[in-house]
Amino acid sequence: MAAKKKSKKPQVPFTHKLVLNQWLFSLFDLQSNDGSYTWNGKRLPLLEAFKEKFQISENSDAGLDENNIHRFYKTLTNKAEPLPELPDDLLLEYDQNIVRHTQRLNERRLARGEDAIDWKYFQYLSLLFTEIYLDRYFADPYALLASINEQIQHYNQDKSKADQVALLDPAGDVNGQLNKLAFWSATGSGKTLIMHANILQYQHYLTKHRRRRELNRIILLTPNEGLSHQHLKELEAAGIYAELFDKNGRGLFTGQAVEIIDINKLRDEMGDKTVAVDAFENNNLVLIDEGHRGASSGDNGTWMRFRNSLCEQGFSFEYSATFGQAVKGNRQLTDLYARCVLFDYSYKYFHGDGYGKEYQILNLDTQTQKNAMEVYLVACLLSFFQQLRLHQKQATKCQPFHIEKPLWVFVGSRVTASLSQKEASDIVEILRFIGRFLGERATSVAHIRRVLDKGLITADGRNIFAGRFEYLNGLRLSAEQFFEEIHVVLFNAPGGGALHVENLKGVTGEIALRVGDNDPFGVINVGDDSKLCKLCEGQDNLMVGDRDFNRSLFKEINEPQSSVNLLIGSKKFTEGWNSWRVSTMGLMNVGKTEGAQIIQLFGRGVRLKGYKRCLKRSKYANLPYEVTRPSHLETLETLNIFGIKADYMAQFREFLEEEGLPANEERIEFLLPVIRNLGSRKLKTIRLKKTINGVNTEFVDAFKKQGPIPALAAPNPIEEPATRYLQKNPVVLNWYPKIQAVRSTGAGKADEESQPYQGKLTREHIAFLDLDAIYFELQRFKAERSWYNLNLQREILRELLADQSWYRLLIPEGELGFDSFEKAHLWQELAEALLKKYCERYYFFRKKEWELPHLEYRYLDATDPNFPQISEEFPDGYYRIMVEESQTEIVDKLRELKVQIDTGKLKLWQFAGLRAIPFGQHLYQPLLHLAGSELEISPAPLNQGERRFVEDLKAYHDSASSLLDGKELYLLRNLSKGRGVGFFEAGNFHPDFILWLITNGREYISFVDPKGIRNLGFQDPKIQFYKTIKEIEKRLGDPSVTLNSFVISNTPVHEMGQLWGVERKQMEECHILFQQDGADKYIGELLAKSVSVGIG
Amino acid sequence: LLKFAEAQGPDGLREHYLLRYMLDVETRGSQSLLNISAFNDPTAYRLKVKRPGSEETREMNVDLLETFNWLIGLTVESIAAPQTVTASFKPDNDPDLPKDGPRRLLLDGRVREDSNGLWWFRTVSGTTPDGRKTLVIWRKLTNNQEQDNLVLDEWFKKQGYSSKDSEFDLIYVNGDNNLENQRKPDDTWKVRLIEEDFHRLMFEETEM
Repeated sequence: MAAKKKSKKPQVPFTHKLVLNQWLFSLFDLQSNDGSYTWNGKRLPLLEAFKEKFQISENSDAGLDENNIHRFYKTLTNKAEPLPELPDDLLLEYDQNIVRHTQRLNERRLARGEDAIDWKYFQYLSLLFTEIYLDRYFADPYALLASINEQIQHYNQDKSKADQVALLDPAGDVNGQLNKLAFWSATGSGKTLIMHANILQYQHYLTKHRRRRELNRIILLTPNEGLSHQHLKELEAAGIYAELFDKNGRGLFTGQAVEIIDINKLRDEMGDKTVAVDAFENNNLVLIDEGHRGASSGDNGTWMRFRNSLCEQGFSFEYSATFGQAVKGNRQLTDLYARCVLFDYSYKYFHGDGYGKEYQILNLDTQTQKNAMEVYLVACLLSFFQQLRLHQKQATKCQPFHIEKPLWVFVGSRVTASLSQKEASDIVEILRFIGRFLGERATSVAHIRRVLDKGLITADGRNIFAGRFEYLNGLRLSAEQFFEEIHVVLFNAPGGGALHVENLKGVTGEIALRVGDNDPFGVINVGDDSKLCKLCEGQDNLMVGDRDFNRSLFKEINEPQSSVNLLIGSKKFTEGWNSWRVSTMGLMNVGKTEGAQIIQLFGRGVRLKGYKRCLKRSKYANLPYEVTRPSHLETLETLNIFGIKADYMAQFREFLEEEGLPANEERIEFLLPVIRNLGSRKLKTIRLKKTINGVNTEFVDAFKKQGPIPALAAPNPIEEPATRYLQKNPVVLNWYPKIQAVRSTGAGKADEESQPYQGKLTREHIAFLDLDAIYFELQRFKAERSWYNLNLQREILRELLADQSWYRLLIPEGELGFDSFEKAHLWQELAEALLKKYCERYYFFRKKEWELPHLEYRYLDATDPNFPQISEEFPDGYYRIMVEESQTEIVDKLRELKVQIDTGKLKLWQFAGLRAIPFGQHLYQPLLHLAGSELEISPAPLNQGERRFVEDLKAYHDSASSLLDGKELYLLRNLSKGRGVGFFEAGNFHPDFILWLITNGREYISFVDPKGIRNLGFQDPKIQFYKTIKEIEKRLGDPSVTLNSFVISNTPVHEMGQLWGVERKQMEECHILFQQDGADKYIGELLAKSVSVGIG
Repeated sequence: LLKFAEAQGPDGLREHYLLRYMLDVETRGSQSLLNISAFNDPTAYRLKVKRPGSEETREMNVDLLETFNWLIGLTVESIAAPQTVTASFKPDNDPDLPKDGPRRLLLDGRVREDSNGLWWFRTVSGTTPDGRKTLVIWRKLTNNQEQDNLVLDEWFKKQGYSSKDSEFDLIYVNGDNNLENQRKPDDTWKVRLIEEDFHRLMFEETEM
């Protein structure tokens, strides 16, 4: 931006100054003093580096596992190096706190039949960071202050004076300097849920430190009454008792209930409707929604003072989408927020992860806009019409993607009730445009033709509407036909007519827009309706009048029968109004000082429900294989933004840039071909038969369709000998880690018992269980896993629990003693966990039992789903790479790579974190590895461990080791669920690679899976799979084929030795090899072992 | 159990139990606090009701169907007449499977209306307060879950509920079932268990 200004001005963007956030990341071994970290040679924002390092992302498995531990916990701890600051059991303790709070927040939701909260990765991290902070804050604030100061010094050391962040004062009020946390969260990223959890987290630590009594009230500050009501509703939905603050009645539940008050009601002195800040005392928990309102300097800091006073001896959590705007140009605020923003998930991350709509800013330079205003507005109208028509024609197809009927809104940023001059004139201008458009047919038709044929060229020669009207142009209708259709679809007026502007007498502040006597197509929502009507009087093409009407058109906008397609208004839009319909947004009256509000408006506009309510654009959503996106869906998933004056747009872009958002980012699809190396080789693979009893099994879950319906039951080897398997392989539940995690900071570590106690749930325990609750929990589990074919009867539970033969429960003996009823809750939890595990074991047992007789060796052919998809253009298959349009460099480099591939001269290619590995023995090449996440590649690129394995194998192969003499080696990546070869008996295990060694007419096939194994027990079916594969080999009974399976651990051997208490030799016998040993050793062992074990 | 030595004493299990949990635990599963297994026959849920002002108690039928509509706040559009159907079954003849192993149960012929049939269905359709199109399927269960669920699936297909134009957002069924197995990838309906929501909505507590 302003690079030439005096050096006294700060140069470092605010997002790089978030020292508290940097400190938290440093606990995860990501040290930084500017908000970014170099990962694999690439400079990434901390959050992105974190995602890379821990292999966690928006696509990671969310939710709880059958032990009620977040799957994220496993992802976080499943890494090579333990974190000195955050040992696993501490993270587990935090996780369990989060689990408890989440369950608490879900109780009410589940009772209402609503979907339970499943944290997304960034929400989980927000909560985890809060846990870490609160734990340290309560345990030792001085130490916390010192560590934050260390980070500030680290940050300051290479910054100019103007950019330094002031240190905290260890001699001052320590708590007072540390009791404010802020969350930078994009609108739509679920900050309300985070807030609910934060309340519980804070209460937990207060209770833990026996300070619960110190808390006076819980106060939620909102910017206006509309939001207060919305918060009340949402707190209620979460089952948290809340009330709107009533200055006259101090309720019974004060200190328990959350009191919601809008900031306008806080004053220095008591008033009629207002209340003095002092009345609240200052030991409160204060929650602040959109705090920037008061933070900005315009308000003389009064607001800030109030807030500080309320939480002086308490604590505050603040949530906003727009801190960047709020602190702009204010040194003090910049310092303050740099030290209290705990987590940054602002728009750039939100959008980058694929959430919310795409956006398109249709802006012109001032001169062009002046000259071509009319055409520009017609183009905007057309782009909205395009959305509306698309939706109308494809409503059913769009349903799974939750696209609502598009709505066109005109918004200003002012929230005042009165109608400002500028705004009024903007509204009149819009109305006059619509009037002209309807009235002057010939001109309008000409404009439509011009826009569709030529677009609109700006001063610098760009056509801003290039490629924007693909759908409309594809319809091959004439401009006249479009004009007619616009009447029907947009204006509800098949016969045409004049534009009527009617003040609705029965509804204050609403003006209806209609053509002729048809249903209203639009509504204006303003404070001063009569003033606006007066202004419209006498304008050409506008018929102004009154109408008796007492239904609010505005309130009906979200109803399915609403005829309204256009909403003009300002006040309501910012005040907690919500609609999923907004898809084209016109800006009015945007000034320099309203950045924060504008960003919020924008945030509302880009919200999207998405496929299965994943909130993502369909290009980013994880669509099942069978689901196809309807054509032009992206047009409906885009928010078009335009301004009726060019400077509004310029201002808007500036706001976006300050929030770190790229102004117009389109992703383009780059198809990268692969070279296949299969040729006419005959390689065998294990697959389910293509048809079973005459039914095609491809791309369906054949077991669900054709297999016997499994009914959960206890093993009964007398009646059914096969079920002895369930007793020989009992489910194991180890409760020691959980118990240690809970005790680790409290009463000191539990004694390390040398031999864990094995407990059983007896008849007496069962008498205390709530079997209905367990039953419903299992029903949820069944639905979550999509085991719809499983029969699960309520009556079976008692019988199952009475049978002790199918599980091993490791738990300190005392936990099962009958000395306190509190323990019944634990037993309930144990019973649930055991039954879930058994349910899974049982289901897989039945599935395997049915699938095994249907497995066969099949020669791998070109149609094998493990090969990348093919097309006419790329008969060998291709990778689909999504690149941001602006990254022309990557696109250029990819083109070079494509040339290499096309000419068959493949070399190792590397650029910006992407690496293409040529390996002729892999059945297609290159293989891709990606660090950083600007690109999206499908099939998914190799991860770190997989890449290393491939490179090690390649090096070994190229070194022409004698071991490979007379043998051919081939490798194929095995894809995950639905496409690759999977073994559900090992917990739906899809090993990453299939390796063939061919010699003397024998095929040695090995399944190889490089992975971190810290979270797997030694008895885990994945670890024990090396035995299972031998059973399959026997069953398939082909004497020329040898099957094996290997796990390549990237966790060091000594660590696993400690964790499992197992010698290296024993691990190697179980086909576990260690990447740390070096390629020569472990690849050599792998190959030697895979050929040495014949059929025994 | 409460007589165990370790359960005694002022803070012992016995004390805890008597003071805080006796009602909760001992009345679980009683008819008056909702007995889940009684949903097996939705037409025969009976309660002993004490007459006001006297000591007399009388057995009364409870209309689960109406009660449930009320609990979920359903705006009822239609209540269908009950249907009774019959069916016969045969095992899958897949030659690959071992003789004595489990096999898929299949229908032998079709599901037919028959007033003497073992399977009884009655549906309610309407809209929930949050605007979801809802179908409630009530059925009588025999003691053979596999047959019950197979008949449900086939009956459901026959009614055309899964077709696009009569699509529901939410389908309620009593009794554990396999209905969602019928769902195609682009269908949006979800199945919920009647007794689960019944239970929750009856006993939902306001918490602090």
